[in-house]
Amino acid sequence: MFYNFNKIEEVKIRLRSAEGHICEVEESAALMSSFIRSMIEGFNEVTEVSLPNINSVVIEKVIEYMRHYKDKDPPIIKKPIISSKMEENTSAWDAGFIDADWNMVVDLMTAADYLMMIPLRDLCCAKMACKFKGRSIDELRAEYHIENEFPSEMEENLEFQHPWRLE
Amino acid sequence: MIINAEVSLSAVVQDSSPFVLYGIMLHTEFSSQILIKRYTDFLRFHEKLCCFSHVQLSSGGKLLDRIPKLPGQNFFTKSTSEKVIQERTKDLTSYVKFLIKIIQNIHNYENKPWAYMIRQFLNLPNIEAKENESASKVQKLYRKYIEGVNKRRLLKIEYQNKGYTSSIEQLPDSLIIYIFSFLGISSLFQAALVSKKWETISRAPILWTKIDLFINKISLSTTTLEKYCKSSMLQTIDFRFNLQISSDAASIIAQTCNPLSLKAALFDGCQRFDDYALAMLAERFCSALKIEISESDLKGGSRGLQILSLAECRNISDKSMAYIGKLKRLENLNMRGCNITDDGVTLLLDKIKALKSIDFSGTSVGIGSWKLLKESHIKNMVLNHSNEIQKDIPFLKNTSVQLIDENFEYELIAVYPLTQIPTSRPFKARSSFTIQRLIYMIQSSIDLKSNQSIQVLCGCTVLKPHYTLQQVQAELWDSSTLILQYRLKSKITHRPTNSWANLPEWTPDNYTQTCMGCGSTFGLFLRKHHCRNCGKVFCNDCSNYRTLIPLSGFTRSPVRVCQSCFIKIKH
Repeated sequence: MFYNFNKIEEVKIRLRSAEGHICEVEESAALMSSFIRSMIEGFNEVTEVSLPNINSVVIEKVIEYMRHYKDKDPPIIKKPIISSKMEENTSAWDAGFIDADWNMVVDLMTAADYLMMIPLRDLCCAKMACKFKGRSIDELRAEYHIENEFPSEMEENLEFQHPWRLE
Repeated sequence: MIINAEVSLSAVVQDSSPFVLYGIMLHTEFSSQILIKRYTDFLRFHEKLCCFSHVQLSSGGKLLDRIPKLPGQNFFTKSTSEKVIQERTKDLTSYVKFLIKIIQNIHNYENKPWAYMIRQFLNLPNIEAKENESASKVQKLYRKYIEGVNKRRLLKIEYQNKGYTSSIEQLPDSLIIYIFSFLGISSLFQAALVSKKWETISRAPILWTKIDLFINKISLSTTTLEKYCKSSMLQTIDFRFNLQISSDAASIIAQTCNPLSLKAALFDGCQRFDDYALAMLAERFCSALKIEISESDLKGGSRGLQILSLAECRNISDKSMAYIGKLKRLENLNMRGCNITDDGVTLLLDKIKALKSIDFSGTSVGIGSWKLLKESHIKNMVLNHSNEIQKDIPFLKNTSVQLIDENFEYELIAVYPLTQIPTSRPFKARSSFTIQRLIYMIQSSIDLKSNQSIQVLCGCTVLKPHYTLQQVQAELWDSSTLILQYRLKSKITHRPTNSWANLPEWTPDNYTQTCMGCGSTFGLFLRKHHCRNCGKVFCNDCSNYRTLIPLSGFTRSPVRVCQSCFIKIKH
């Protein structure tokens, strides 16, 4: 019987989400996360990794990122970021990928931190930094519902007390 | 105030005559206290209280009727036996409870001496004071709690309305630091003042690796400078054109900076920065690195100052070169416009081996140090506008000297805009000046050995010796600069990095009659064209590509290249 060696299917890693759903990824793509890498290399023939902290929507987003950068290195984002628009800081694909709502970015960031995917974590952090860039103190407080914890007298002094205040 | 009293503890003290201690627990709303009394204490108190037994109470009746009876003494049984203790604890609790009832039920008792006695006996004034304190505290806490609950409730409703379920304050600190590391200084300050948590996070030393005071006019007192330099991960300090940096400031920088993390120090244009200041900095860095160097020579570590820039510091002289020599890890030194002579350069080159690039332009460094530099390991040096070198080789005004590698040849390249061909004494640029004569004048000013040669380049062609400058101008097709290239050794075996020296060999027109791409013969309608990248001859169709060639200096407008070169450049 003719057997096509090129079509041998790659080993697939099954990722179990918080709800118990299972998503499948190719092994070469999954190795991008050093958490999964250590799980696979530590125990022989492990094909299922359970991720109780991450829900399935986020896992699918992470897998999309893994598949895109399977064969190439993701672009490095320069510090500090240039502008508050993500398109000017990274490649167009990255900017489109991270253009999600607030919850998604936060969840993706914690997931990337948990899975130890440094490029993805940096991408999320840069996206958050874009939201902070160029905003005033009051705008930030209003946007993220942070109470003003400083007493009013202290707040006036604080601006001059910070060791790195340069002006 | 409600007080619950109970005699709950008892302990036998073994003395010459053993006795029993009773502990009275006094529970109030917010606190509880223990009074320790002996049975005899109760007896004495009861005797005193009985002195007031005749007192008429306003509610009617005598006090004596209200006072409970103390459990009696039995002289035949020992007071330390267990039975007696159990009985007495029961009786004493009822006695104390009665006492408290009396005080709480009878109004206007404060001034009465008997009431005072009871209060003192049970230590009530202290308890009351404590009770009031804790009550006010609890009240405050409760108020805050209620406010917090209300606020949180409001916030939650807002979050749900806006679709926020995960708030930014739940993020771990490490992630917030990562986010902050993407912010510039100004927006980081805004973020730092938003909340207490962010303020403490923003002080993390990882976020502060660079002091940037480039042309900054804030007054630098000693305390502010100390604050800036305190960060333990500081990597670059940038005090360019800051006139306040004097030797005092330098001593503070030297004391507070972490010499192991600092990699670059820029003091360009600090007029008050002098030899003494540099000495202090260098000594501090040198002493901290002494242990490091022996270890990291094995590991190949990279700690220690690597970049030092002192351009336009007029107060820096030859003395400081000895101090700079102590910075063993220095790779990049910029001393443009300092008061340095040949002696300083010899001092420096004796000590530092790691130097990779040097900028001595505008100094009074002479031909002697030029010879020294040639023999050292330094790969990249700039000696423009050096007065002494100009005296020796007067026409080299914009000299840039590049030593790419030991294995390759040296090059001395002078670049002139064509309109400014040297007009001072030795060269008077007249349009009738031939290239031959120019070369001759150059040759006479340096002693060239027989195997050294001079080429004059214009645009991309090597100019023929009989051309006059007028003809050169007419031949120009792209550039307005004239390049004099001296080959100090016979062969150049590498592609030098200077833009104009990268030009291809120009194939003469009469070399071929056929296109080097498609092979068709040239004629009246098929004209010859040169590829600007490889210099070969092509027809129009084969060389119909335009691109910039930054390596060869074509950076302004795209030029004609052949197909293969176009693909090479694009990829």
